Amino acid sequence: MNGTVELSLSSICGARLHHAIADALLSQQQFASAADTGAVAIRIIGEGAPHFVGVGLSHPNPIDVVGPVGDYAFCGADNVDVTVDGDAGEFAAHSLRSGQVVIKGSVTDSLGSMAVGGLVAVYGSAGARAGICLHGADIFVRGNVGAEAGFRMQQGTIIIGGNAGEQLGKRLQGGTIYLRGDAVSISADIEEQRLREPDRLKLGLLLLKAGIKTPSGKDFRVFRRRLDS
Amino acid sequence: MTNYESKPRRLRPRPVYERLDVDPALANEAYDSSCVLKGANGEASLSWPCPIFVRQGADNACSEQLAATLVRLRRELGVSSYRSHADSSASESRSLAAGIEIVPVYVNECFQPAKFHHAEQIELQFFQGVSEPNSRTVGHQSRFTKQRWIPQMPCDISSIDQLSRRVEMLRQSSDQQSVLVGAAIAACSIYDDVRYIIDAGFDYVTLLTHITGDMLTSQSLELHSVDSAIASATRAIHDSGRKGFSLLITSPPTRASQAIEWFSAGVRAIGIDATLQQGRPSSATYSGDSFGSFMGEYGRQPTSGLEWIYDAAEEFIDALVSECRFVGLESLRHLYPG
Repeated sequence: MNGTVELSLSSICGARLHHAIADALLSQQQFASAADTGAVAIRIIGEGAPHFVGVGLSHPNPIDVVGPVGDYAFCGADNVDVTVDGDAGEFAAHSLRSGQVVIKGSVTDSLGSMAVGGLVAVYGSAGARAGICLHGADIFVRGNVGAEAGFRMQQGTIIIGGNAGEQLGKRLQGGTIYLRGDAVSISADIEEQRLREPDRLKLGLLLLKAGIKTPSGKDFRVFRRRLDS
Repeated sequence: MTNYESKPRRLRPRPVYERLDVDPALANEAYDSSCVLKGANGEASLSWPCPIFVRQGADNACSEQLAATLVRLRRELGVSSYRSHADSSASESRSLAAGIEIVPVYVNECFQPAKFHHAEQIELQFFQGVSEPNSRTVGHQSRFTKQRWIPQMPCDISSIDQLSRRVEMLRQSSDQQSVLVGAAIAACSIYDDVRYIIDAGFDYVTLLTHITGDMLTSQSLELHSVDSAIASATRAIHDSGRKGFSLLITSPPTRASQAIEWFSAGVRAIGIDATLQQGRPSSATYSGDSFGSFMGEYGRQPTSGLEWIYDAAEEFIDALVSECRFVGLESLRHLYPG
């Protein structure tokens, strides 16, 4: 790393984060040349969980948010490497396109809804409808998830390290759900399948990518769309 | 029965003794036909140079030729139009005399930030986009039916609070200060839908009372009677107590005076796709239609240019301005209630 740029969310609009980062990098001559290389760390100090932080953000440098963020954090973000050292509100990483968003706290409802690509990792728990209408991204939740996780999911992967709420995989159309704990109820739209070697490989890779060191994915069960539905 | 439930009021033409200020020499001067759409918070407002818009880019696949014609309508006549599906780039800068480029977002469409960076007006379409496959419409794609316009909520929204936050997120995604976020919905359960849209924090609603297909065909659908749709929508706006909420409709007025009646009844702008479609010359059709096979579809190109769309729009606007001048309206803004 060539250095760190620090910004405070109390002085900038969360939805204009991409402009604020660009301005901050340009204003400091020593970082201007490294702005597009990913060699400068961006540290953002949050205050009071502001909504819409990083909406539409596209930035190659690692971004570390200290403190909680509100609803729609990093919605539509593309090519990002974000770590949130706190909780996040509803629709975190909604429509994420690529890159990874790691949330070290917990999130409320609709985590990663409609996300197209990239990885969303939550080290705490997630609320209801995690991965709703997922379009191809990977979601990892270390703790529990609420009701209707994977609702109307079309593509992608959801890995649940804890337990799941009611109606897991309701109206799921495609993609895979890996569950380590138990579910209150499992939707009739999905069925448990045998964990095969490709599943273990995929789980291992995604868990490593999410920063979890685990020997294997043996403890997980795999669910996919019911074949006769 | 109160006034807002009654039929659109008839305009009372100005008597001749009130026309002392009208100089015949000024008759050819530019007429102020602009209208203003206000934001939900009362601060933001957007001025349209002309209360006319075209929905072709939003409701139908848009060829390059049609897209160029829509740009020309926007720049030269001030007719607002929608950005087509294929175009995800940011809006170009525009002069104040040019129409607005409205950015449509469909219910189940992933958020694409690049589309909204400089958007002045964003409109959430409460139905599926032209290219989205749907299990309900599989096998009916080639038919022009009401199926596609069935009103539906975004799949990840389950409460009005969530919808109002989605509206705010769309508003924040543009760097324009006065960005307006509206909703387009097929005229169905109009009163309830308009109340819901107002409560969710949208700035305006576009009621699709009439849907027009491709300009080179005669496809069109009547979804609701215009007069009753306007009455229901204005009653909903009145009952909500929300000031400055705008109503837009899509319907072909049979004459310019009818458009003025709609304006006076509370409509802020009219979509005239069907009027333009009616101006299609007989020579304007697809060259491949006669083959009746997939090869015919392969090379679908209009046999003549789309100049007639521009001519029809210009003719309609001229007729509208003439009618306004004839009855003695100083500007179209004088028509709008409130």
